[in-house]
Amino acid sequence: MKAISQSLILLSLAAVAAFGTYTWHPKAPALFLTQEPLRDDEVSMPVIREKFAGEVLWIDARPADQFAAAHMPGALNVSEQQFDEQLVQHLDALQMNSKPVIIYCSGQKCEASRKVMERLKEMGFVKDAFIFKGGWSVLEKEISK
Amino acid sequence: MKTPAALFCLFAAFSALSHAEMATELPAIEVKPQPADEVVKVSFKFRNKGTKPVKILDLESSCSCLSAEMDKAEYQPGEEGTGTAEFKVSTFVGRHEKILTALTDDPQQQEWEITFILDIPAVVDIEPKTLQWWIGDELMEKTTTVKMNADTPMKITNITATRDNVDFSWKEIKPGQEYQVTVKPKTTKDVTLGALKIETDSKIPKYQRQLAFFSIYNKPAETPKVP
Repeated sequence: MKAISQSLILLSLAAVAAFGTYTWHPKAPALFLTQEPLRDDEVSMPVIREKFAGEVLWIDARPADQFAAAHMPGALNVSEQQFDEQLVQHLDALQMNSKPVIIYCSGQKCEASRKVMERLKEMGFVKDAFIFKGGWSVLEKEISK
Repeated sequence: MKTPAALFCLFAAFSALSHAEMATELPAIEVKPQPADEVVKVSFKFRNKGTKPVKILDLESSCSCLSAEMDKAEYQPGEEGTGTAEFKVSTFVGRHEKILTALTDDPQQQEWEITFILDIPAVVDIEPKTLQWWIGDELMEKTTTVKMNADTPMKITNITATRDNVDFSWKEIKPGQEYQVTVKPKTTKDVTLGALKIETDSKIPKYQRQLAFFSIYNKPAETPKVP
């Protein structure tokens, strides 16, 4: 009986400490994970399937060696580093394109896809262009399903 | 009964007070490659300003052009560390901010961001980089200026276009320093995306061929959004 009451007291103390941390600590972790919503210029695979019926032109913004190792079928490689030299190789494909353009880079932290999209839009080389949220790290799992 | 509770309280208080705080000496690390550099390495100092040891679990970069490594995996409170970052210059020009994220075992600082400012001299500056017309526009000439910012003069030796749909010419404004390239479309009826390949007499291979672009495109009605 004594052991149970002691355990209950300890548990209560732990709960109070946890509640205090959650309530007042500036960097307290969330109680449950939430999925970050898509921004206006971001898409996910369900969005591509539903809204575009999968009919898109992929642009891979990763470096050439990573692109050579694996990429989305039919993707064009236009990276931030080799932007001009790679873009000039794909002028015909972009000129003929009428599909939405989806740009991806390596993962959640990379910014290359956004930089490439901004430059292509600024140049007037693409009209409907979007970032694939999560990048290749998500796409790689999608295509291996 | 009193002893375990007191120990627990002491432990809880110690845990709450002890913290890790990894920080670099400067808010941002400046990287300034020379014009001919293909790869540049920079080392930077940082310190664990907190009160408990921190393990670096992984390093993630916002750019595949930037990679880094730390001299050790774990840093004690007050310990100084050294990191080495490598930046592939490639064809980057101008100022760029790149973020390196260090993932740590500290729940209060799971992600420690290190900012790098890359300042790469524009040896050849083409402005505007793209000449644009909309479908149906008048057949007007447009010009772009090519400035050579190298230590020694650089000349344009030749220009070719990837499309037959444009006429172009160039003239020297300041010998070895500034050129003006004029482009005029033959028609603006069709969508056209093209490039001008500008050859120079630069001794540095990556500046021997530069690209400017031109486009004839449908005028956008509004900013696209996911339907």
